[in-house]
Amino acid sequence: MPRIRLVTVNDVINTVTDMVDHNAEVSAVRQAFSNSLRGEAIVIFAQRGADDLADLMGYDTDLDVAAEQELLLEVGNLLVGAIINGISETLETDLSFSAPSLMAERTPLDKVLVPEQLSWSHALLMEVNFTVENRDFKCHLLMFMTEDAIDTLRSILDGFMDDI
Amino acid sequence: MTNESHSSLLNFIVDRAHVGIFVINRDRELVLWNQFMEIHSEQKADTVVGKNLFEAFPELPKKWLDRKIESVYILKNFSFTSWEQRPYLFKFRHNRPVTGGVDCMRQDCTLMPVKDDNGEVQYVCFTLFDTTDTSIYQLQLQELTEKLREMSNRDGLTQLFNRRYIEENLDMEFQRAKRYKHPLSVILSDIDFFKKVNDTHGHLAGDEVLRIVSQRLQNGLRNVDVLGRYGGEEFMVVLPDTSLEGARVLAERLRQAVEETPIEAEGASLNVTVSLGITELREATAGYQQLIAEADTGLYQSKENGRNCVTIFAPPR
Repeated sequence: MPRIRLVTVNDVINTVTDMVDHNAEVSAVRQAFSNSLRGEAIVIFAQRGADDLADLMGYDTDLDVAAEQELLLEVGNLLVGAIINGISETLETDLSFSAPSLMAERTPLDKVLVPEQLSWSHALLMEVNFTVENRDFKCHLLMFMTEDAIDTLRSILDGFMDDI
Repeated sequence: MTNESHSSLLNFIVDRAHVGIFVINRDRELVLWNQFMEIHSEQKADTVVGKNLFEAFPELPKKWLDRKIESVYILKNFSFTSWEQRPYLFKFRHNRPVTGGVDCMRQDCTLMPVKDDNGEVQYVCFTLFDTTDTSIYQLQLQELTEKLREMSNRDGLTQLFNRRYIEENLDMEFQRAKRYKHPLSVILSDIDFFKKVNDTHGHLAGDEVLRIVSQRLQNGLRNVDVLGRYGGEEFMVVLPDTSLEGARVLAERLRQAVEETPIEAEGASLNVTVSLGITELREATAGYQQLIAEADTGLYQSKENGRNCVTIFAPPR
């Protein structure tokens, strides 16, 4: 089940470490979505799972660093697309996605986001987590929408509710 | 604007935009190939449209790209490639043959699902961006960052590691030695009567003495040892995996290396010597700062004992 919270820039790190619930190293991919819904999605991979990704995706050979990064981006894009397209289809809007980029590799979780570099004060945060059965793979998708985008979301939701 | 002129305007833009645009159908046959692609591939739309993408361009990484295209059809989602992981899809020449320094055009690529009225993906539209300039800037930035990192760790005069770096290094070695129960020794060394060199022969001579002593110390060390300028005329050597006896032998060698030959500076021939203090990591050592303090006590003893000698720190019983 997705968890949804309103976060302030000051408690975002605590909220994220709380949601993701492990303090080991992680790798993270970010991607922007825009149009009627606007925001950024961050996929956080537990490092052990990220290291295991090639095997999980059925690559039989060892991958070099670039190929591993590419795989991380690919899976990040796939998860973001699946979740956010699901939402946008329900709300009957069409979204555009930016290219995914790596925002952290083998980084402690509480260093992935740097509050001083964030220019918003409040954001809507939705978290969905993924695990693969019988495998040591775990990742979290965080979807952030800042204040101005929340108003748009509200009006879309109002329209959606009126149509039901 | 009429529909007709509107669509001819769109056609014109798609064709002439400074971005590669091409479209394939489910069978991977090309249905659109814009001017950017024509120019850089040197293949006219007339000749490639209708052909299978992989047959027209056998150099493409087929297995990987085909999988990517299929994912767009199945998941109805955008897909991307970045020059940072995969420098290019098509081997195109770039616009910086003279100033570039990279072999061919770096490319970012977006694969966009083109859906029909039922929401099924009918085509995949590729947009291909020339990121050669970005890649060159990034490369320059990386080189500069590396250079700055190196510079920030060095002392300008002697080119030895500076105090900040050598302390960081000692802290790291301290943690490691403590964890794995390896030996670790530290030498602190100070040039004898350095102030007199400066006062008598001037600062240029003093600088030259610092440089030469640095070189002699460095030449006397092994690859794993780390030497830094700790203060004005004070040097620190971090000796990983080295017992106190090993450190004593090494310190004695350094002392001799400095003393052996007079230093020529500003027309004078100067007999320069150094005093040294040594200590090693023990069970009770609390932190790396303690190692520095102990080596400093040893060094002080050497000064007391007439200089130009090595003193091992004696821990209180």
